[in-house]
Amino acid sequence: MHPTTEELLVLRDGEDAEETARHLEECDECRNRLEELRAVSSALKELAQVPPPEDSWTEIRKRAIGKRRRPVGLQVGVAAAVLLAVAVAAMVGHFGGGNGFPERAESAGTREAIEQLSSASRELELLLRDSSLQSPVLSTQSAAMIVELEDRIAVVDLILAQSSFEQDERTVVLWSDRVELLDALVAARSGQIPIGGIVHAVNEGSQR
Amino acid sequence: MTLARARRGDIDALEGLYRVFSLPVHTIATRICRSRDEAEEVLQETFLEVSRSIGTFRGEGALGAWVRRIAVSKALTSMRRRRRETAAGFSKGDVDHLAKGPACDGTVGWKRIDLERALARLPDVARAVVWLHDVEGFTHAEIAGFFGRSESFSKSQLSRAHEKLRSWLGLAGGTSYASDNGRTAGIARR
Repeated sequence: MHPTTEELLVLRDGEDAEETARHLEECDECRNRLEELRAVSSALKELAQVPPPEDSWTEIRKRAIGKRRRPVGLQVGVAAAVLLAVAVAAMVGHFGGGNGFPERAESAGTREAIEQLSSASRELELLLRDSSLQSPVLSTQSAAMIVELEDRIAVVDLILAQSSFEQDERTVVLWSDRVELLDALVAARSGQIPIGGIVHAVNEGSQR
Repeated sequence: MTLARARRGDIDALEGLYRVFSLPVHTIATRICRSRDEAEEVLQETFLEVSRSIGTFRGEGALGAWVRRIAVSKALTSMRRRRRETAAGFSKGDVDHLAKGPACDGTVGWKRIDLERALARLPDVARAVVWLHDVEGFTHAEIAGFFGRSESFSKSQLSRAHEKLRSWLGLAGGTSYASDNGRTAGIARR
């Protein structure tokens, strides 16, 4: 019985394929097939790399600078919108299991949620670098809250770093916390929401 | 230090990263996408993402590998969007843009242009998997992660891709070794 192409590829890739290897010792035809698979793979690697169009960088530069100049007011709703989308996805069972969370560690919904949340995180981090949010904080209470928020973000980052290869519902919760905390930090620095809202975000984060 | 400057949002440092990594990124985009325009959009999106996320790059592993992973993610996102739009009848996309390059002799009995054409004819997912695994060197586990599927899915797609390439390159000789739920003999048996 000849091995399948999948089994030959396993052998080609150097994985454990004892039975296939034994078969090849006696089968010229399959040895040839294996050589052909190797040859196709080598030829694929030799296909030319494809240079980008010459004016691509100009366009990227324009877009990168444009994004940085976007006004603060347009960005603050990002976290809320993303969190709402993730929550709705969970409610409609987008995450898989009947309890709203996957039984298996990964699912397309979970990955999508993490992608959305990490993207929102990045947007908020960029926003925090905006010079208008770098001015000194006048209120002592606000300053203490900002320190608290930054500490909590650091803790979330530490936990995320320790589970960087896991893409499960716990990671979604961590990313949600991160977005909430960053959003609260942006709000605190820009003075756009009352301090009570920030306290709520901090308390919510600490209860998880 | 370019990386440190890029982290501070220095646009010239980002250009430095673009100069180093745009060729491999555009190659990945071109091999996974269906048109030049789509590949260029992926290239742009990749470097905008690099610009946004460089502050979160923790320095674990090579910067090039990190950039390539972003490129793959953007290219696959674009592929999924195109497939949804195509299914909905909004867009058909160009075809065979990969096969329009100059012909030159390969070293394995078929011409390189034949391989370009065969690669371009593959279904989207099979083409992406064979490129990511055989050329870019991603493992089945990594590819499974990109697609949110299992390793078996990746192995099966790779196998299908090679079956088709063999057939189109005239290597299969009329013999099929397609798998049916795991172990199967080829139609030709000893």
